[in-house]
Amino acid sequence: MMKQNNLKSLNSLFMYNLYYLIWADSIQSIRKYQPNKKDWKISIFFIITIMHSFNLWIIVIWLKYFGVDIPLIDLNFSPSHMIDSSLSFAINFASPFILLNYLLIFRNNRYIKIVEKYKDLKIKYGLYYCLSMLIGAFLSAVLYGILTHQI
Amino acid sequence: MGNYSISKFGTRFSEGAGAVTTYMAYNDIFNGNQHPITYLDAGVGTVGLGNALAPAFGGSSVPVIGQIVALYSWVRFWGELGYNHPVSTWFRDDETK
Repeated sequence: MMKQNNLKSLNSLFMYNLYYLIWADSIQSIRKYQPNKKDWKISIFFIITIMHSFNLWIIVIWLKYFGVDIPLIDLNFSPSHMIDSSLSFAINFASPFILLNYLLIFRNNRYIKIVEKYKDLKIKYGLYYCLSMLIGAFLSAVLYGILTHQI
Repeated sequence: MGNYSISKFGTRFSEGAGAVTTYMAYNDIFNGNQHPITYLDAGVGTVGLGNALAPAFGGSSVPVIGQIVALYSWVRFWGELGYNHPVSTWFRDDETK
Protein backbone atom coordinates (compact mmCIF):
# COMPACT_ATOMS: atom_id res chain seq x y z
CA MET A 1 0.00 0.00 0.00
CA MET A 2 2.79 2.39 1.02
CA LYS A 3 4.79 1.44 -2.06
CA GLN A 4 1.76 2.16 -4.23
CA ASN A 5 1.34 5.58 -2.62
CA ASN A 6 5.00 6.39 -3.18
CA LEU A 7 4.75 5.37 -6.81
CA LYS A 8 1.61 7.46 -7.19
CA SER A 9 3.24 10.59 -5.73
CA LEU A 10 6.35 10.04 -7.87
CA ASN A 11 4.15 9.66 -10.92
CA SER A 12 2.26 12.85 -10.17
CA LEU A 13 5.56 14.72 -9.73
CA PHE A 14 6.59 13.81 -13.24
CA MET A 15 3.16 14.56 -14.62
CA TYR A 16 3.41 18.16 -13.46
CA ASN A 17 5.93 20.30 -15.18
CA LEU A 18 8.00 22.08 -12.55
CA TYR A 19 8.72 24.97 -14.86
CA TYR A 20 5.02 25.69 -15.32
CA LEU A 21 4.31 25.08 -11.63
CA ILE A 22 6.80 27.81 -10.70
CA TRP A 23 5.29 30.20 -13.20
CA ALA A 24 1.70 29.43 -12.24
CA ASP A 25 2.40 29.93 -8.54
CA SER A 26 4.40 33.12 -9.14
CA ILE A 27 1.66 34.66 -11.29
CA GLN A 28 -1.03 33.67 -8.78
CA SER A 29 1.05 35.14 -5.93
CA ILE A 30 1.68 38.49 -7.55
CA ARG A 31 -1.98 38.81 -8.59
CA LYS A 32 -3.06 37.89 -5.05
CA TYR A 33 -0.66 40.05 -3.05
CA GLN A 34 -0.38 43.00 -5.42
CA PRO A 35 -3.81 43.17 -7.07
CA ASN A 36 -3.49 46.86 -7.99
CA LYS A 37 -0.13 46.49 -9.66
CA LYS A 38 -0.61 47.37 -13.32
CA ASP A 39 2.81 46.25 -14.55
CA TRP A 40 2.73 42.86 -12.80
CA LYS A 41 3.66 41.02 -16.00
CA ILE A 42 6.96 42.92 -16.34
CA SER A 43 7.68 42.52 -12.62
CA ILE A 44 7.17 38.76 -12.51
CA PHE A 45 8.96 38.32 -15.85
CA PHE A 46 11.92 40.28 -14.44
CA ILE A 47 11.98 38.30 -11.17
CA ILE A 48 11.67 34.79 -12.60
CA THR A 49 14.08 35.47 -15.49
CA ILE A 50 16.74 36.61 -12.99
CA MET A 51 16.15 33.46 -10.91
CA HIS A 52 16.49 31.28 -14.01
CA SER A 53 19.74 33.03 -14.89
CA PHE A 54 21.05 32.30 -11.37
CA ASN A 55 19.99 28.70 -11.80
CA LEU A 56 21.98 28.39 -15.03
CA TRP A 57 24.94 30.20 -13.45
CA ILE A 58 25.02 27.72 -10.54
CA ILE A 59 25.06 24.78 -12.97
CA VAL A 60 27.74 26.31 -15.20
CA ILE A 61 30.05 27.39 -12.35
CA TRP A 62 30.02 23.88 -10.83
CA LEU A 63 30.61 22.36 -14.26
CA LYS A 64 33.61 24.69 -14.55
CA TYR A 65 34.83 23.58 -11.14
CA PHE A 66 34.69 19.95 -12.24
CA GLY A 67 36.67 20.70 -15.40
CA VAL A 68 33.93 21.26 -17.99
CA ASP A 69 34.84 24.65 -19.41
CA ILE A 70 32.05 26.34 -21.33
CA PRO A 71 33.15 29.27 -23.53
CA LEU A 72 31.11 32.36 -22.76
CA ILE A 73 30.90 35.86 -24.17
CA ASP A 74 32.99 38.45 -22.31
CA LEU A 75 32.18 42.00 -23.41
CA ASN A 76 34.72 44.79 -23.19
CA PHE A 77 33.38 47.80 -25.01
CA SER A 78 32.53 50.44 -22.42
CA PRO A 79 34.77 52.37 -20.01
CA SER A 80 32.78 50.92 -17.09
CA HIS A 81 33.64 47.42 -15.93
CA MET A 82 30.25 47.26 -14.20
CA ILE A 83 28.38 47.72 -17.50
CA ASP A 84 30.60 45.26 -19.41
CA SER A 85 30.44 42.60 -16.73
CA SER A 86 26.71 42.80 -15.99
CA LEU A 87 25.86 42.85 -19.71
CA SER A 88 28.09 39.80 -20.26
CA PHE A 89 26.19 37.98 -17.52
CA ALA A 90 22.85 39.07 -18.96
CA ILE A 91 23.79 37.86 -22.47
CA ASN A 92 25.27 34.56 -21.30
CA PHE A 93 22.80 33.56 -18.62
CA ALA A 94 19.63 35.65 -18.84
CA SER A 95 19.04 36.10 -22.58
CA PRO A 96 18.10 32.44 -23.27
CA PHE A 97 15.43 32.69 -20.58
CA ILE A 98 14.14 36.07 -21.75
CA LEU A 99 13.30 34.38 -25.04
CA LEU A 100 12.10 31.10 -23.53
CA ASN A 101 9.91 32.71 -20.87
CA TYR A 102 8.37 35.07 -23.36
CA LEU A 103 7.60 32.33 -25.87
CA LEU A 104 6.36 29.74 -23.35
CA ILE A 105 4.50 31.99 -20.91
CA PHE A 106 3.53 35.42 -22.20
CA ARG A 107 3.20 35.02 -25.96
CA ASN A 108 -0.47 34.86 -26.97
CA ASN A 109 -1.36 35.13 -23.24
CA ARG A 110 -0.45 31.49 -22.62
CA TYR A 111 -0.14 32.26 -18.91
CA ILE A 112 -3.96 32.32 -18.64
CA LYS A 113 -4.15 28.63 -19.61
CA ILE A 114 -1.19 27.74 -17.39
CA VAL A 115 -2.70 29.44 -14.35
CA GLU A 116 -6.04 27.77 -15.06
CA LYS A 117 -4.38 24.34 -15.32
CA TYR A 118 -2.41 24.70 -12.07
CA LYS A 119 -4.84 26.72 -10.01
CA ASP A 120 -5.04 24.60 -6.85
CA LEU A 121 -1.44 24.62 -5.71
CA LYS A 122 -0.70 23.67 -2.12
CA ILE A 123 3.04 24.43 -2.23
CA LYS A 124 4.52 27.87 -2.83
CA TYR A 125 6.74 26.79 -5.72
CA GLY A 126 7.56 30.32 -6.84
CA LEU A 127 8.66 31.55 -3.43
CA TYR A 128 10.73 28.44 -2.69
CA TYR A 129 12.34 28.58 -6.12
CA CYS A 130 13.30 32.25 -5.73
CA LEU A 131 14.68 31.76 -2.22
CA SER A 132 16.63 28.66 -3.18
CA MET A 133 18.16 30.41 -6.22
CA LEU A 134 19.12 33.57 -4.29
CA ILE A 135 20.68 31.63 -1.42
CA GLY A 136 22.06 28.88 -3.67
CA ALA A 137 23.81 31.32 -5.99
CA PHE A 138 25.39 33.24 -3.13
CA LEU A 139 26.51 30.08 -1.32
CA SER A 140 27.86 28.65 -4.59
CA ALA A 141 29.85 31.86 -5.16
CA VAL A 142 31.39 31.72 -1.69
CA LEU A 143 32.02 27.97 -1.80
CA TYR A 144 33.55 28.20 -5.27
CA GLY A 145 35.84 30.98 -4.03
CA ILE A 146 36.94 28.90 -1.05
CA LEU A 147 37.49 25.73 -3.07
CA THR A 148 39.50 27.52 -5.74
CA HIS A 149 41.56 29.35 -3.07
CA GLN A 150 40.40 32.77 -4.23
CA ILE A 151 39.01 33.85 -0.87
CA MET B 1 6.02 63.82 -12.40
CA GLY B 2 3.72 62.77 -9.55
CA ASN B 3 4.62 61.03 -6.33
CA TYR B 4 3.48 57.70 -7.77
CA SER B 5 5.82 57.97 -10.74
CA ILE B 6 8.77 59.01 -8.57
CA SER B 7 8.19 56.08 -6.21
CA LYS B 8 7.75 53.71 -9.16
CA PHE B 9 10.98 54.97 -10.70
CA GLY B 10 12.72 54.52 -7.34
CA THR B 11 11.48 50.94 -7.05
CA ARG B 12 12.57 50.11 -10.59
CA PHE B 13 15.95 51.77 -10.01
CA SER B 14 16.62 49.82 -6.82
CA GLU B 15 15.53 46.54 -8.48
CA GLY B 16 17.75 47.25 -11.46
CA ALA B 17 20.67 48.28 -9.25
CA GLY B 18 20.39 45.02 -7.29
CA ALA B 19 20.33 43.01 -10.51
CA VAL B 20 23.25 44.86 -12.13
CA THR B 21 25.44 44.61 -9.00
CA THR B 22 24.71 40.90 -8.59
CA TYR B 23 25.23 40.19 -12.29
CA MET B 24 28.60 41.97 -12.24
CA ALA B 25 29.74 40.13 -9.11
CA TYR B 26 28.73 36.67 -10.38
CA ASN B 27 30.30 37.31 -13.78
CA ASP B 28 33.57 38.35 -12.12
CA ILE B 29 33.53 35.29 -9.87
CA PHE B 30 32.92 33.06 -12.88
CA ASN B 31 35.81 34.64 -14.82
CA GLY B 32 38.18 34.51 -11.83
CA ASN B 33 38.41 38.33 -11.56
CA GLN B 34 37.09 38.47 -8.03
CA HIS B 35 38.32 40.61 -5.17
CA PRO B 36 36.98 40.77 -1.61
CA ILE B 37 34.63 43.59 -2.71
CA THR B 38 33.12 41.26 -5.34
CA TYR B 39 31.59 39.15 -2.56
CA LEU B 40 30.26 42.30 -0.92
CA ASP B 41 28.69 43.24 -4.28
CA ALA B 42 27.14 39.77 -4.52
CA GLY B 43 25.77 40.01 -0.97
CA VAL B 44 24.38 43.53 -1.36
CA GLY B 45 22.84 42.71 -4.74
CA THR B 46 21.29 39.49 -3.43
CA VAL B 47 19.76 41.31 -0.46
CA GLY B 48 18.44 43.99 -2.83
CA LEU B 49 16.86 41.41 -5.13
CA GLY B 50 15.32 39.55 -2.19
CA ASN B 51 13.90 42.81 -0.93
CA ALA B 52 12.51 43.68 -4.36
CA LEU B 53 10.79 40.34 -4.91
CA ALA B 54 9.31 39.96 -1.40
CA PRO B 55 6.04 41.85 -2.08
CA ALA B 56 5.24 39.57 -5.03
CA PHE B 57 5.14 36.56 -2.69
CA GLY B 58 3.28 38.05 0.24
CA GLY B 59 6.24 39.50 2.09
CA SER B 60 6.95 43.16 2.63
CA SER B 61 9.93 45.03 1.28
CA VAL B 62 11.89 47.39 3.47
CA PRO B 63 12.23 50.71 1.58
CA VAL B 64 15.52 51.57 3.33
CA ILE B 65 17.15 48.39 2.01
CA GLY B 66 16.15 49.26 -1.56
CA GLN B 67 17.55 52.77 -1.11
CA ILE B 68 20.82 51.49 0.38
CA VAL B 69 21.28 48.99 -2.46
CA ALA B 70 20.56 51.66 -5.08
CA LEU B 71 22.98 54.08 -3.40
CA TYR B 72 25.65 51.40 -3.04
CA SER B 73 25.39 50.49 -6.74
CA TRP B 74 25.47 54.15 -7.77
CA VAL B 75 28.57 54.87 -5.66
CA ARG B 76 30.20 51.64 -6.81
CA PHE B 77 29.56 52.49 -10.46
CA TRP B 78 31.10 55.97 -10.29
CA GLY B 79 33.84 54.89 -7.87
CA GLU B 80 34.97 52.08 -10.14
CA LEU B 81 34.76 54.33 -13.21
CA GLY B 82 36.74 57.06 -11.46
CA TYR B 83 39.36 54.56 -10.24
CA ASN B 84 39.93 53.04 -13.68
CA HIS B 85 39.61 56.30 -15.62
CA PRO B 86 40.64 59.20 -13.37
CA VAL B 87 39.72 62.71 -14.53
CA SER B 88 43.41 63.58 -14.92
CA THR B 89 43.66 61.08 -17.79
CA TRP B 90 40.58 62.19 -19.70
CA PHE B 91 42.37 64.56 -22.07
CA ARG B 92 45.43 62.39 -22.66
CA ASP B 93 45.84 60.11 -25.63
CA ASP B 94 47.40 57.36 -23.55
CA GLU B 95 45.77 56.74 -20.17
CA THR B 96 48.73 54.75 -18.88
CA LYS B 97 51.02 57.82 -18.88
